[in-house]
Amino acid sequence: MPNAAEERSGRLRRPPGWGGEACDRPARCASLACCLGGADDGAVNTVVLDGGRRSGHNTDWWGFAEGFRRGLPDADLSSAVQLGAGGAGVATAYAALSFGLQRLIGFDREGGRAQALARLLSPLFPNGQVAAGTDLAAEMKRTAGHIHTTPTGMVKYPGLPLDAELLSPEHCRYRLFPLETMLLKEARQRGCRKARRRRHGSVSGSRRLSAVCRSRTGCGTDARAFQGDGRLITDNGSLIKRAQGASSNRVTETFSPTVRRSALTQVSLAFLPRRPSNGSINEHEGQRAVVMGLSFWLSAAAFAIKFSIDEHFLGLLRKGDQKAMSELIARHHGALVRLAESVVKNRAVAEEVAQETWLAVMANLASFEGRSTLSTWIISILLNKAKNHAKRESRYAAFGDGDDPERDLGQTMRNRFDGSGHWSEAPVSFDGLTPERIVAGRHLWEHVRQMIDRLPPAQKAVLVMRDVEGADAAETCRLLELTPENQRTLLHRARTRIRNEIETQLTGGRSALTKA
Amino acid sequence: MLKCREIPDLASDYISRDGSKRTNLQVALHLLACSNCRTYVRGMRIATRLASTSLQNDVPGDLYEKLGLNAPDRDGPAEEPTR
Repeated sequence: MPNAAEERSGRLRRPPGWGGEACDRPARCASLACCLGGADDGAVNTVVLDGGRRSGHNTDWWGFAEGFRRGLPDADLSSAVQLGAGGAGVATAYAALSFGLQRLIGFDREGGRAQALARLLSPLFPNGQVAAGTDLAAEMKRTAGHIHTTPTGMVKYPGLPLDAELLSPEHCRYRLFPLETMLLKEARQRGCRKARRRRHGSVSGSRRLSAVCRSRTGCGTDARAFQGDGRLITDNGSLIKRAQGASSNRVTETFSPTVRRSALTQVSLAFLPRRPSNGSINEHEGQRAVVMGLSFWLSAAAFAIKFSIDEHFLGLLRKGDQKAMSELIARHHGALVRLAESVVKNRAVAEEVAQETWLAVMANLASFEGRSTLSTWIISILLNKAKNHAKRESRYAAFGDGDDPERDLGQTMRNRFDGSGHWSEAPVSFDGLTPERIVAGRHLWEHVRQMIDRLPPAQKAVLVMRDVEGADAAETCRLLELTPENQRTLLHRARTRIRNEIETQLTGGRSALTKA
Repeated sequence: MLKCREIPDLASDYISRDGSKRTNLQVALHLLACSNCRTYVRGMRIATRLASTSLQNDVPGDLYEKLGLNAPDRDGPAEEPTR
């Protein structure tokens, strides 16, 4: 792919201060043409710029070999079929032959690539046999393993790279591309053993860093990968967090604080910044990496603590702990009554429905399986009871927004801006406001509670779901049977109304709101 | 660049990250430059927390008794909003 190669070589010259780039499909092989120094196995996934000279490195094979060694330590290495003989295919074949595969049969949809693979690797491995296959079905029956290196199964290329019937449980397989493909799924269902690519990205990424580091400082700085957990620790001790869900093959995301990614289509480019001329590790970026790592682990710890507390609380409830049940009721009863009221349109009936709901919750807590959050489960019970109640009395109507005098709200907000679109009067700051603040002779929370009660039913229900019960948009739409757009509109109106009313309370009705 | 008068319509989506990433970014950029809109959006965040806490402990006195439970020792909202 000479155009891609030219494009890449052009880009390599452009940004000053960058030390190298990561190459991805389809430019792995093409990149080789740009490099003076080639990788051992004839494909390149990392290009290092050093003093105007480009050298190519392939770190894929090393990551693959490590993944295979750890994932399938006792695999049968007598023979394997490999699907794909492109840039990644060269790396996997090189790795497989390096750790002792005796016979490798390559297949590739593009004519000639499997033959080229055989020609390239045969001289390097005189004790092994590398050949281009012609009959996939026959070779699949004969060989012990299957290596998949094509992009088939990725989002852009759905499907299986071969007939599912050809997979047998005896095959140990290794795939290089997506985390979950149809092929893997099919293989799992058929009982095949497999080595996943889980560790490939971090191992390969560390090698990439290593290649660039050596080039930049000449000090042989290496990077070590900690398997599976996405962390990389460099020799200078800086902990670098890998973004969750990031493509494992993009070293840019692995080393996010120090590396940037350009948005070139098809080819993922990463330019590693040069180190300072004094040769020291970039301390500022190292510190940022440490901060990112720390914040990640603090968030994870907070989540774990919350999860643990929730589990503990649920355990107490299941055991019939009265104090925990009282706590649960204190947390949710107010919200449940407002939700029920927005359905049955009557406070006394809503109180009854909420009470019935608590009785049902107490009776059925043991059967709560935890497939949803506890609050979602309780709200589902409540809404069912409320709807049944409303239907019995022929009062049930689905939530809509027709009950909201939106024009008034819109006009109120428009009055707050001048002709140029700027605030005609600055909004009142709520900083330092607490629920206990006495406003107009009462606690602020009492005012806000009344404000919520005055909201139109649909707005009240959405506000309670989102802001009181903490449900997300999808859950709110599902439980209240709203469209996403309707839900957002209702939430916007409810929040705006509450904010405006608090502001009016604080200013004693003297704010710009009163201009409406 | 957004104008101040557009911010109130986008504030709710912004604080709960319901809007598109592009719109949220535009709002964030506007907030960097406009203290009045920052005050408005921060006020909306605080209002949502006040709404949440105001419904805590809103339990009629006899409910616990009807359910055969003891009332927890509290009065008023359970917690204060954090900023």
